[in-house]
Amino acid sequence: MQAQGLNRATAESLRGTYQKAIEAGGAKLQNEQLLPRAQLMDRILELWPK
Amino acid sequence: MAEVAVLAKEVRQHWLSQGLRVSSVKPEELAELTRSRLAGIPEEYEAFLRVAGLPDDEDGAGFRFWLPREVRATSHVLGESGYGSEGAEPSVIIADYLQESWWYGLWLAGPFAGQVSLVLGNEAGKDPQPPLGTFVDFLLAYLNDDVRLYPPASSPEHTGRVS
Repeated sequence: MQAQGLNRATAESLRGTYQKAIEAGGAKLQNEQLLPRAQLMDRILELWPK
Repeated sequence: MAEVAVLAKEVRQHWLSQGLRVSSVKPEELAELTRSRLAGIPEEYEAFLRVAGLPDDEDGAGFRFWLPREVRATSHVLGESGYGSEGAEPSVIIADYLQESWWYGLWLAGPFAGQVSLVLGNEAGKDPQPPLGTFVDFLLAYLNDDVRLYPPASSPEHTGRVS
């Protein structure tokens, strides 16, 4: 994904947006993609080269 | 129309308060949108674009209003993502939520002309959804993060897509 232009700041920003939606709860949790996307972003950040 | 202008200013302020860079929509972009490509674009939507402009990115909650050059037929957007559409009347996608988890479609003709519907992208092809309200209702819902902007709890066919 790095090769395709994803940078760490964008990944962190996306993770932050997902986290805000998760914490807001309610209707936002109707988004079935929310948790998988948050987990994907966690994994990407976890594997990011040190 | 005055109501749209007032709401457009509020939406613009909403974006600016989040630090988004908001640019004016050029008259030629509007002209191209309304004349050449998509017949039936409601005047209220045009007025909104004229007053509010558009931000260069999604907002802090993940809503993104599409630039005029990005606005496309709902059936086209769904088709690109592998979904069908059962709307007999034309509509266009004007915004999305959380990197296109779903979209918001503006009806151009038929009984729902000028109204906005959720477009979920579901396997059964039952899109667009019934209208959530007029374009003004949509703006009010956006400013208030209203539940109407989200799929109803009883939409099990919304499988979503992970891109």
